[in-house]
Formats: sequence, structure tokens, C-alpha cells
Amino acid sequence: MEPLKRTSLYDTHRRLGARFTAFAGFEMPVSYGGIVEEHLAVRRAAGLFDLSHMGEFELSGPPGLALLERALSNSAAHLAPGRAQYTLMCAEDGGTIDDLIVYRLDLERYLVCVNAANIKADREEFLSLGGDRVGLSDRSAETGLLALQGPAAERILAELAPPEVCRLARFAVAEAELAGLSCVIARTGYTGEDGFEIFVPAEQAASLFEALLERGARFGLKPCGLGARDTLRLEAGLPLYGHELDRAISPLEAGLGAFVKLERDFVGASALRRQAQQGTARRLVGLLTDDARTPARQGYPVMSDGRRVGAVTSGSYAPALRRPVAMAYVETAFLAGNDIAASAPVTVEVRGRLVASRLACLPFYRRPAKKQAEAADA
Amino acid sequence: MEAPAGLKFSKQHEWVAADKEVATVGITDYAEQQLGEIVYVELPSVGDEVSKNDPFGVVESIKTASDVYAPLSGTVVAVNEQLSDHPEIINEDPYGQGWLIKVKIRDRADLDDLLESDEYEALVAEARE
Repeated sequence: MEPLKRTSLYDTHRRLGARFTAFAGFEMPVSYGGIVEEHLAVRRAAGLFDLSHMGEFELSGPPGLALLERALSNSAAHLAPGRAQYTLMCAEDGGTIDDLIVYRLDLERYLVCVNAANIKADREEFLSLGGDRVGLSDRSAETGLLALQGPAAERILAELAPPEVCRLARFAVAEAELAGLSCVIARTGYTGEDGFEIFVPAEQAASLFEALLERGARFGLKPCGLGARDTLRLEAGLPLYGHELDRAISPLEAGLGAFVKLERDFVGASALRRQAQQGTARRLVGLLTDDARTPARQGYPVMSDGRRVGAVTSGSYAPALRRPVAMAYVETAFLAGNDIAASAPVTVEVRGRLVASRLACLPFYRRPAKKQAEAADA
Repeated sequence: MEAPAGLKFSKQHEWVAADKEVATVGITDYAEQQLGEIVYVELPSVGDEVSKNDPFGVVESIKTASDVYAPLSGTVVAVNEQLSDHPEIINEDPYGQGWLIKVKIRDRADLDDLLESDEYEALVAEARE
């Protein structure tokens, strides 16, 4: 086995008392003070994450755009300069190679942020579509990425960033100096809260992380690990590659049709058009165990009348809801006769025992409207 | 890291406090720290038999579900009912209020195979390296 890689913030994490876990070939902090505490800090104040393990590619000009249009399901051509979009990379059969975000930095330049576990697969796919001819550049190793997430994120960023950056709209992106460092700052995230993602040269990521922690302390900012990142995205109903998405799952099954422009010609489009016409065989739904105690975990079968109708893809205790929640793929045929909105009853097989459960609409958590209004006003 | 003297320990990170007839079983401070915040506990019922080295229950943290192994064989005579509503007690007081089950000892020789606190501390020190 290859030795685990470390981000440039490893020593900082150690000093902050992080417990580490292996994730996508990296030794990453799973938690510092505890997952629940970190999760609630993001819901109530703010959290700071090191995401430097994630991958970044750069492309430019009309040839770069043409490659993105061919490789990805959403339409990068519709992106205005200074805007970002969620999109998917599919295989010819419609299965998902990765889910990612494209940032259009200006008229010419595009930044693509991808899952750490898929950097190699994405690069190979881009190259197979002519990436080398259009100057595809893999900047993963030298790019650090921090996420500042939570209702206090904007006030904390204002301590270090020019006012116009703090006023960025949701899914807007800008290049700016932050604490004297050249950064790309976007109002994006993966927690269900308002927040920012900040790209910074890897060798400067630790000093930015520390500056944000110091200035954010009085707002309740806490360093957060991948443990809280997972429970936050689960509450917010966001898919995680390797769980809700993989090579054998199409974005349509995952309920991501809004990010798949079927009228366009991209890799996988014809398979996905067929799926859209015929309907998918399964669909991603929420699932709640009735006792509000038993966690339904990845791989647990979802049963109805002694028949397997689906399987759990992610499940964990949800700290803000103070109960376990799960996501599962369930057969569309079963869903046709059983209303999710009416909490259709099913059972989940937990270690050989059937636990009464109900299907639920996603997401489990939406940030309060008041906070959204504040974010829009500011 | 604390492994109180007077208790016995298994290599799978359970502790045992034995009197003449009954052994109280829990998971160690090291085990609860490794698991992180405990959110769910599944335990046997009073009257169930547990067998040495076989799983008798499950302790789930946010991240994962872990089996708990019986450090000795016997009949369950008590189960810590508090834990179903408050599994976090295991994190707060693993050697006290966070006990899991009490077992009527079938064969005292089972206890001889367990580690003393200094031996267990050495095992954990090694695991931490």
C-alpha cells in the first residue's frame, strides 16, 4: 500500500489535537474536539475545514471550454465570468465518474475542483478527450483549499477580506487578497450552510488557516474535520461520491437531473436521455428509523413485505436533528405505490434484525430562512 | 490514559470488575476515545448467555458500528438500561456509570486469561505508536 499523503496543514492539525483518518489516500483530520461539537459550530456559528486533499484542474480559452462541454453534464458555456456551477462527469453508459464544481474565474480561465479519490480518473477522462492538446493543467498538489462554513462565515471573512468579496452571491467566485495572500474565493460549500471555499497556494494554506481561526474565535469559529463534514452533508441531503454516486449510478438516479443538460452532446448524454425517457430503476430517498435511535448504515438492506426494495448508501447520527438519518436507493417500482412524502413504511435490516423505518424527503435539514435573508441582505 | 488497578482487561479493550459471582463488563477509556462520540448501544437481554471472545453487543459512534466481545462466559444478570437513552455516558464515565452488562461467572478460570491494568496500559501504549 502506498504511504498516506499529507496536506500542508498536517502539523497545524496535529498541534490542534486532531484525530486522523485515512481518506482518499490522505491522512486527514477526522475531528479535533468531537464531531458533534464541530457539527453544531457550523450550524450555529462557523467551522473551518482543510480540504487541500481535493483536486484542482485549470483550463483556459475556447478549447478549454469545449473540453468541459464535452466531459461534463452541466453547461459550462452558460457560466458567466465570476460564477460557479455543480456538474457531473459521466461515462458513456451514464454512470458517474465524479461530481465536481467548475469555476469560471474570468473570460478565459476555468478552475475545476474534484474529489480527491477521483483525481486520477478525472485526469484520465479529460486526457482521453484531448485534455493535453488544450493545456489541461493538474494543480492538485500545489493548491490548498479551506472551507469557511456557517452563519457567521461572512462576518469572519470580513475580518480579512475586502467588502466586495464578502458580498459575493451564492455560487459566485472572485480572485482577491486575503490576509495578504492571493486567493480564489467562492461562495460555495458542502454543509447546507452559507459559507466560502478558499483556494490558496498549498504552502500558504496553514498561515491562512491560522489567521482565520484567530480572527474567527470570537465569532465561535472552530476547526472541523471530515467527520463533521460527512454528518453536515448528510443532514443537508448532499451526495458523497462512493456512497450516493459511483460508476454504476447515474446522476438521474441520484436526483441530480437539474445538473444534467440532456439537450447537449456530452459523454454519457445518449444513455442518460434513454434513462430519462424510460425512467430510472431506483431513486435516492431519505430514510428514518422509527425508534429515532438505531443508525441505518451504508449497505443495510431496505425491506418491504419480506422483499428487498433497496439499500442504505449513507447513514449516521445527525447532531443538529439529534437522531440518526440515512439516505438509500429504493426501487422506483416500489416508490410508485408508496408515497415518500407520506412517510411510506419500510424496514431496515440491521445485523439480521428488522427495524421499522419510514421513507423521507431529502434534505433532512434546511438552513433557517432568517439566516438566508441575512446572508442576502449583507 | 487510565486503566484503573483492580480491574481486568481484554485485548479487545473491554474491562471486567469481578466479585465472587458476578462480573461487570464495559469498554475501556481507550476504546471509547478511539470510537469517539457514542450514539447507540445494542446489548443482550437479562438471561441471555454470552461466550468468551464472542460478540455480545454493538457500540456505535457517529462514524462506525463496533462489536463488543465478551471477556468471559456466563449468563447476563443485568443490563445498563440507562445507555439506551444516554449512550454518551460511556464516553463520560467508561469505568463507572458507563458499564454495559453484568454476567454471572461460569468459570473463574476465564478471568485468569485477562490482562492486569499495567499489562493493558502497555498494550495500549504500543497501539498508540
